[in-house]
Amino acid sequence: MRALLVILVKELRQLRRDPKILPILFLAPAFQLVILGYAATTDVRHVELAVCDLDRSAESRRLVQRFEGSTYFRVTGRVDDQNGLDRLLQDGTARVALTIPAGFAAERNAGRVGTVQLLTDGSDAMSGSAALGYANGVLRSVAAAGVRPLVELRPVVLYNPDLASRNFMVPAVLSLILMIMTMMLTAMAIVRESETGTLEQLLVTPLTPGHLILGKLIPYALVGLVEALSTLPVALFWFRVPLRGSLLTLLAFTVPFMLCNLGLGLLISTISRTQQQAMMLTAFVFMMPQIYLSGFAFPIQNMPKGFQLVTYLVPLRYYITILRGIFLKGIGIEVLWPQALALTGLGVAILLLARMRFRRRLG
Amino acid sequence: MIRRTLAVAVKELLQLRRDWRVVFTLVLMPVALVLIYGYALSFDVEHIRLVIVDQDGSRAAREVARAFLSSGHFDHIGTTRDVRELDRWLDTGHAQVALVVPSGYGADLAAHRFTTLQLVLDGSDSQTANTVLAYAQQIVASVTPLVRVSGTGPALAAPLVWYNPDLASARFLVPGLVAFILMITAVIATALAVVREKERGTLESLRATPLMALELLIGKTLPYLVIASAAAAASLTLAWALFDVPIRGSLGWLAVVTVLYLLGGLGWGVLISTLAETQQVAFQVSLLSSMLPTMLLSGFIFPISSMPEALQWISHIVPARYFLVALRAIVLKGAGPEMWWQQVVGLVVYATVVGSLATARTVRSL
Repeated sequence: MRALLVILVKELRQLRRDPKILPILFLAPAFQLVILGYAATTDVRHVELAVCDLDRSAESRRLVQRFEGSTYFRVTGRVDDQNGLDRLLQDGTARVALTIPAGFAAERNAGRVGTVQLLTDGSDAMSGSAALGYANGVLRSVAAAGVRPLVELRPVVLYNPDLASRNFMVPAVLSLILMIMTMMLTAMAIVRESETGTLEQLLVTPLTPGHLILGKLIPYALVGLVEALSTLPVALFWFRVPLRGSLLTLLAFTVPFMLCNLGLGLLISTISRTQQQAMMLTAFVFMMPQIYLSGFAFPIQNMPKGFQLVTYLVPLRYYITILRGIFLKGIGIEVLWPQALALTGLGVAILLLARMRFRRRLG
Repeated sequence: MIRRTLAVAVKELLQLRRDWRVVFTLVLMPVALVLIYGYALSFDVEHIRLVIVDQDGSRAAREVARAFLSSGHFDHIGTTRDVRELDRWLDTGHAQVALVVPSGYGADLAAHRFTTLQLVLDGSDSQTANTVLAYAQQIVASVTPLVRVSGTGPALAAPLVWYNPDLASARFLVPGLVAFILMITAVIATALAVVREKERGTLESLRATPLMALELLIGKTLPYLVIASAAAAASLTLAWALFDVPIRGSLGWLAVVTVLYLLGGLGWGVLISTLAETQQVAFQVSLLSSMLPTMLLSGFIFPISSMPEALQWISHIVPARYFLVALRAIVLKGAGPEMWWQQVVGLVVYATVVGSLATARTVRSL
């Protein structure tokens, strides 16, 4: 126990000695969340629209006004000739082009179908398809004058009634930041000591590998928790993501998540021979898969079956489910116990693995 | 000057050869990652988990349920008669959406009365929810009749999609993925280059040579530029061969834009390296400054035009932003330089600024 305390004090002293590291550790997470929380929006707004009105009737002008009046579109170009639309789409001035053919109003007044043409830039598939959907919505509201469907579909949206993507994305960005920050802390911990030769000195002391691992782990776990505590207020009060579940449960679930990431960092640190290797391993092998296979932006259900299986090894996957569940659905341990169990299991397994590797390296 | 620069480059190459794992990682990792994630990532919403709540039990109810299931978008998770069970299904995430057919639906339809269906959605993922809603509206419209209520005809859209007619998300995501992975590769390649010499004390010996700061930096960057360009060529070839990313524009311009982008990334790595005192700080700063910003602020996943005005400004300091616009324009649209020259200006300005800052820093430390 005393041995552990000694190494804890040593680590904390070392942490304090590097003045550049402290601001990175405590300010960067909250700052990043403020900026990136805004970036991660899948709501497609202000789509650049080019208009070619060949009908020039009161009705066609009203239709264009409908498009302008919606928050989804912003008219960035008007041309009198359909060929002009090509250029606007190609240089990116417009992403959607609306052509109202001559005779549009006349057709509709005669009780027939008036057809407009919507040209979409599909190179950005996501906003392309969203823009098509919005455009159809605008047209439907215009068309509603003439017909009414016999069966109306009434949507009831649970958990996030205004379908604001921010509520879904901010918790995920928060967990991404925590993952990156904490894994970075320990990824160089041991390899640095071995590269600078100080590991040799530690080895002649009566400290065991378990002590060394715990001594590296505990101070950084505290740092990680402080980071979690500094980013949560940003999500709650800056972005006003509704917290429907319990804050305490959320913090309790954060502990095994920290263990996983700090453990992964230690594992990297025991595998690599140089700090450069540690850096590459962290970025390519441990961070990217977590980011992309976590379901943060790309739904897991869309992945091929093999990849879906791999995602079960990704701690971030569980933590994002937990955060989104607690924030938006207000659920707790009664629903989330499988995720909690998986995170704890992964954390313990990773730490054991790191300790094993460490001992082998010493031997 | 050229001789001295080359001498540094050769020294760096010799050092790299001793640690061949680094070269291996820098060239093969990007390719492997494009391959893996190119398959794994997609925005296409399929296999939506659907519960059917049939309170009606009529033939019309079964028909509309069948229309949902045979559309191919939905996976049938369960059927129930009790709406109260829905909470559990949706809370646990076992279901994402429920179609509720109220009792009397069949009778209303048979009597030609206006009636409703209810769709209960898990809205937490708003993007998926919007897509599901659009699918459902289409399906309902296709199986139930329209009733004319006035003399004016309806307005319809004839949609036409360019550049990526089936709106396949791979064609749009894979170029973004390439940009992301190349950025990380470039920054990581050089981030430790100078600081390592500082930490080991070998910078002192370089100081004793007649090397100038610029020569040292170019010499150090050159080998990595070659490696990163090889990685870029390999990943773009893979994107073209496996993921149907058509390369419609000119290969020459593609190479120019890619090299400019890599120079910016490598330059940023060198700048970090000259600023940091320890490898650990260099490592943290380089990951923090490249990983999330390149992913979230470049337009790779989230459209820049939807971000708040201030953030759109901030995104101008992310080089991937320029590269992505140019890359997608060349690859998907086959557009010539007159369409994306602004992006090239952005990349050149970025590389120049970062490069001169790094040189200025090195002059001081030499």
